[in-house]
Amino acid sequence: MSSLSNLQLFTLVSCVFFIVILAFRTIKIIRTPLHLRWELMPIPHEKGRYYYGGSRYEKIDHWKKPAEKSSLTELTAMLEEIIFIKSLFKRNRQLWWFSYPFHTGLYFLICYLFLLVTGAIAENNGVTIAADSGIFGTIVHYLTVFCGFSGLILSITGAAGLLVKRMTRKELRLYSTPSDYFNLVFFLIVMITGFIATLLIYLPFTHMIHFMAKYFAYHRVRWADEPNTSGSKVEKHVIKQLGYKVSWSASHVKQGGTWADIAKDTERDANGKNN
Amino acid sequence: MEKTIKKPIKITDISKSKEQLVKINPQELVPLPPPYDKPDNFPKIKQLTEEQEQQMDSSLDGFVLVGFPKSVSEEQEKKWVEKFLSGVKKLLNKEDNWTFLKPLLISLEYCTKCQTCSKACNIFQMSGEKEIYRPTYRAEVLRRIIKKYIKPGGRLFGKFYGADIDLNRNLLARLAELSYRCTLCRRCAQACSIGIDNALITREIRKIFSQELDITVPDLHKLGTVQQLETGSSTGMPPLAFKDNIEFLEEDFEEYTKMKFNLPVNVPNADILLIHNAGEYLAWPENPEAFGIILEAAGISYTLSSDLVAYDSVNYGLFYDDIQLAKIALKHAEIAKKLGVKKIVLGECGHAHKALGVVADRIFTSENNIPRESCLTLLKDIVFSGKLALDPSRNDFPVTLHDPCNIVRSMGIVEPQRKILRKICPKFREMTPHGIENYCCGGGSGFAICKSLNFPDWRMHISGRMKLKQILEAFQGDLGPENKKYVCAPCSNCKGQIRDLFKFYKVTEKSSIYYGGLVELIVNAMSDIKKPFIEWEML
Repeated sequence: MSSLSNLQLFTLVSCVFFIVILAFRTIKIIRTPLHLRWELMPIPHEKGRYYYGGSRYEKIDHWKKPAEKSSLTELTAMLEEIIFIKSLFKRNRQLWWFSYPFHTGLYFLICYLFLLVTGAIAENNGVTIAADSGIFGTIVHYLTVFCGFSGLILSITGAAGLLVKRMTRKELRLYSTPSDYFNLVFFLIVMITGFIATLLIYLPFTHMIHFMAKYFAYHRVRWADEPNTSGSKVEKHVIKQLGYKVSWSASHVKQGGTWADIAKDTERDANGKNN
Repeated sequence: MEKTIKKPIKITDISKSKEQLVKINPQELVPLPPPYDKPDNFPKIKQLTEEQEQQMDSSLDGFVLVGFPKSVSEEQEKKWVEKFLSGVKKLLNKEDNWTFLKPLLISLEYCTKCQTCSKACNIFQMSGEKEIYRPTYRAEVLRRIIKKYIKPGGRLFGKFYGADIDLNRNLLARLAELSYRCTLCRRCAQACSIGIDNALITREIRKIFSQELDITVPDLHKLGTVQQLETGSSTGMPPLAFKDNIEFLEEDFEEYTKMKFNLPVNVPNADILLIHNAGEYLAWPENPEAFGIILEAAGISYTLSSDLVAYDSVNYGLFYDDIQLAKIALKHAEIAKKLGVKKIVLGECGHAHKALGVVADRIFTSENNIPRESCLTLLKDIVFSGKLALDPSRNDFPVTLHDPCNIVRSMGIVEPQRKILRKICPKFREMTPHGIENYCCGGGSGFAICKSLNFPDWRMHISGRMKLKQILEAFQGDLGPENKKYVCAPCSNCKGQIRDLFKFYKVTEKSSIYYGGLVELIVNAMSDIKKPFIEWEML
């Protein structure tokens, strides 16, 4: 195998960098403690109730009955979001017209990268990837070209549209920081020049990796309705976390205590120690 | 009158000059349907007195709820700024804020500021899109404080990342007030495609002020959670007065119907501990009375409790303070365990449903984790069990349903109350939108009981505006005083807000629209009770 060129090395390092920083930010969220329940309707795994936003709490003695869950409706809801960004389509159509091609373009570019790798592996193993090769080679060739061009056109169109929106819409402009504009401009430059590796270094530091956050926001917060039952994993977390020391300093908080201590310290209120 | 800053308001304006950021002019608000479309026909916004103006900061929008001191020494300002920053650090610390760290981090770090949430916010929309009420405004203030003062390199990278805000007295005074210009209805969070929760961020800001700076809304803290833990109820009603109230309810019903009636209190080992919002006993005694009638007729084994805290389901900690939330939830569970009941059933109180039914679930351990249930599911079961003789023709008037956010959007209890209404109210009609996409009554997050200074005017003009519009639209074509109409609001706080709205806009007088709970309609349909239970003139 020939030694790597500087460009190849940079690309490889960029990929590794992207994965490491993304993993770091993902782990940061994963490692946060189990929070108090804060679900938000609709919850798509609620079998037979999702369509109107109902939950198990509509059943009498719900804790005695097994949770009726549907993976199918949850999967459908996820796919609608991933493929169509349905919620944005429903609630902010103006932005969706640019956000959708932008995100779809990114999907095509990811496919393009996978197809390139697939093609390279195939070529290394003696399979020709070209327009006039065998069935496999021809399909991979045309798919690669299609995904590459579609990805480029859609993502550039989307990013340009989003940039224009951000610059011209008052409600977006007032809240945008220079970095918000830079993210989109930088993205456009990279797409036009084709120097995607640079993007991989910058992207994980921005909110543009919200696909990861979205997973946690939906699965671990909005749809996280796992009850706390005796002996469960949830209860183990709760017991551990009730033992955390509290350093909030307001007068109604017992100083130096754990969460378990302060939650039982109602005498403090009864004795009028609060302001 | 204070001068106001010229539009457009920027994020950084919150820490600048002492000029009022926004002035509310009723003429600029989204109009209500006729005959409520002329702002001059309704009370003017109450101006603060000169003395109040001198004492309290009203430079956000001219309204005061928190009452942040207007003049402070440089030394005090420095102390508050330091305390606020220490509070922010605790908010981002797993020991101090395990309760909400995960959703907070996601919401702080991944918002794209697309403003989709703004379209969902009734306060922002009905205010005529006043910038400070945009769900992202206060969240962005906190975000920029963190970027500048907490994150490494914040001051170095400065404006590029939006670390451009000055944390000073002006900011603290306005942010404290601004954190109480959102009802925490979470409609904005529901609209967010990523899952960012600006209502949660608002609550977290309130927590910094309460848990670190001792700055709270007296109605919620001193007269709310503290009073509840101290005297037994946020209404100030001690246990003895509660027992007197129960006796009064029994006598009142017996006198009215000539039927024997008993409200069980402190019955050990009953199946259910029923907890009402104590405000019901004082403001709407017919509600707990109706519960008693239904449960007795259905042969349900239940009890009320006269123990401190246990006769009041409210938990205002849900709105501003995790510690007070935990203290009250534990008290409720402790008393249920002591009585030996099988479950707690929550009366018609939305935030009590969410606080004890859902949020507190991860405060309990095996020793105190007692099942909790909504009264709505129990009532649906009773109504459809055939145990009550029901005559829907007794409810032959137009009825619409208000969905309390905490019961519906946050818990998913959507259908039981509707099934009941469809069965017993032949003229039931929905509001638009309804169910999990409902609009808040405008009294959410405790606002309904906040009656200090001129804040109630803000509730009437801004936060309650959409709900009033929805109610009027539900009865469109019948807004004259000829026919009596009923808004069913199965939540005490929502009822309080609707009561105040109806009084302010003279809705009952002009349009004969009344309000009340769900159980009153059920009892009104019970053919065993000869006289109608709903006394319109008393509503």
